[in-house]
Amino acid sequence: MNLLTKKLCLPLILIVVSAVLFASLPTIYLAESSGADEVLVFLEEVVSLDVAKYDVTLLGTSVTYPEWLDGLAQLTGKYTLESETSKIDVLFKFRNSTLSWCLVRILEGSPHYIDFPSANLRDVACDFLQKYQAYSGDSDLEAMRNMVNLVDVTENMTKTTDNLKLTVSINSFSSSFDWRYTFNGTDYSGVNVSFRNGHFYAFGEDRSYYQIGGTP
Amino acid sequence: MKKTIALIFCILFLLSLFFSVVILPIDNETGSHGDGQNEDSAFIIWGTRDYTDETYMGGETERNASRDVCDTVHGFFADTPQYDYCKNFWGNDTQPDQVYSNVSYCEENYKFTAIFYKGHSIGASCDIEGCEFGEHWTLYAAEGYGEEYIIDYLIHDRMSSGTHDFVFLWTCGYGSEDMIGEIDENGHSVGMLASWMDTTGLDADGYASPDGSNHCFIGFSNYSVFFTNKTTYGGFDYGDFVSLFFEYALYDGWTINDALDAAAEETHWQSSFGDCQLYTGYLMPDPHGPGQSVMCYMRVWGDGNLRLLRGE
Repeated sequence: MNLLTKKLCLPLILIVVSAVLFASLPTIYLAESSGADEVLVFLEEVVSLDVAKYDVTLLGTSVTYPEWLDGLAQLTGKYTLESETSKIDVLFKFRNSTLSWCLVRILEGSPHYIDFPSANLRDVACDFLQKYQAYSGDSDLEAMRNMVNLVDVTENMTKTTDNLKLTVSINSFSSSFDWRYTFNGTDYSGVNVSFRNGHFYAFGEDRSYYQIGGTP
Repeated sequence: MKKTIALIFCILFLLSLFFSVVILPIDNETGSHGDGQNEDSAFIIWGTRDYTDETYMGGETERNASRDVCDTVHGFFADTPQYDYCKNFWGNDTQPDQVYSNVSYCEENYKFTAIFYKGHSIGASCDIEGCEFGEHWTLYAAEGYGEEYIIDYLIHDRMSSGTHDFVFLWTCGYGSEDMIGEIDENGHSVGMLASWMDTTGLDADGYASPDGSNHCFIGFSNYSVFFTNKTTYGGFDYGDFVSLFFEYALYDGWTINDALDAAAEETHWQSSFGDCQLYTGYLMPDPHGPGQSVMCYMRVWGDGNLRLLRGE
């Protein structure tokens, strides 16, 4: 090895090492955002949104450890989905590594769906639960779905069957369903979903971190 | 020999430039707050110390909660480079003249000003010749009831550029449709929304129908809820709601509506602000009808798509 080669060798090694270190920066970010990608799966499999038709941008995520979650992580973020005819914002939170909140705000146009939602509120709610059950593999959701068929969904009402309480709320903004486990008259964890103008609006799920007898 | 060393330095320099160009833009897309375009904004907190009445003002616990929450909220803005004028004047510094002079200062020096007030409301008269508004509306200053108040039209008198783009008054009444106010042909105003924002044309439901005005006013129809009141979920209170609202509102790319939704979800376990009792209505004791309650609402006027972190 001649002198010139030797002198070049050390700086080149340093450059390669630096390049590897620099390259790891976006990798760290991608590792954090990979949990957020699960939101897109939820949108496709549960909300039936045709995500492939959109340009998807993750605006950023933030991981916090709120005191009330007692050490559990909360990943919060926002996606924008944009096509030539439709623009949607999607907010989300993961708690205890489970999607616990997702809100879809339609900003422009009509969303691209894989299956267009029914115009019937009862059907929309049942369809949501059925798809959420398939997505999550959670058989408890079947009892929640059965309750929807027992109530009048055109007005505000609450019905309790065994230890499950369903509250239907209709207001000028949205129509929402709230299923909540209840013991001795006290409400605990559950699932909620709301629809606006016939479209999915928001979903919440606190069963993965809310423990009976306290929070979380 | 010297040529070889020079060549090595040149290669290293070029590679450094390459990495700077390639790596830094990727890092900027990862959601960091602020991108160098978000300067020239101001944020000011005002608040009374007067919580004397236990039933209708909340007493000392409400006073302490107000002070603590304002401290927390101020901390969020202080950590945000965009807000290079960031003041927490809660308490003794909430003096009418101080408010008016800060309105002038922000109007003249900042392209965007956000305001948060926590306290109480009361009517007042006006000695301006030719005023046909009748009753005017005021905010409690530091000392509170019976002392000098912060008066609507004196705020408006300090307007010059109309850059108070976000105003959040956690006090009674000023979000009601019949209290947004007016501005007459002489520029004399009545009402807090009209006076702070120099407009009366904002959409009445900026949450459900953002009007694209880049102005957003949040207030209450009837009585504001105490910070110490529990939301009924997870031990949260309305002080938590406010703190979380501002925390989320300063996330990159998040709007007022986004922040309202995220704060409502966390503190109420409702899937959105639109499903939460602040929007759908909550009961508060009626000072004019002892033993009775009155339905109250938080109202978002104007543009719920406004962003406090103005990155775009």
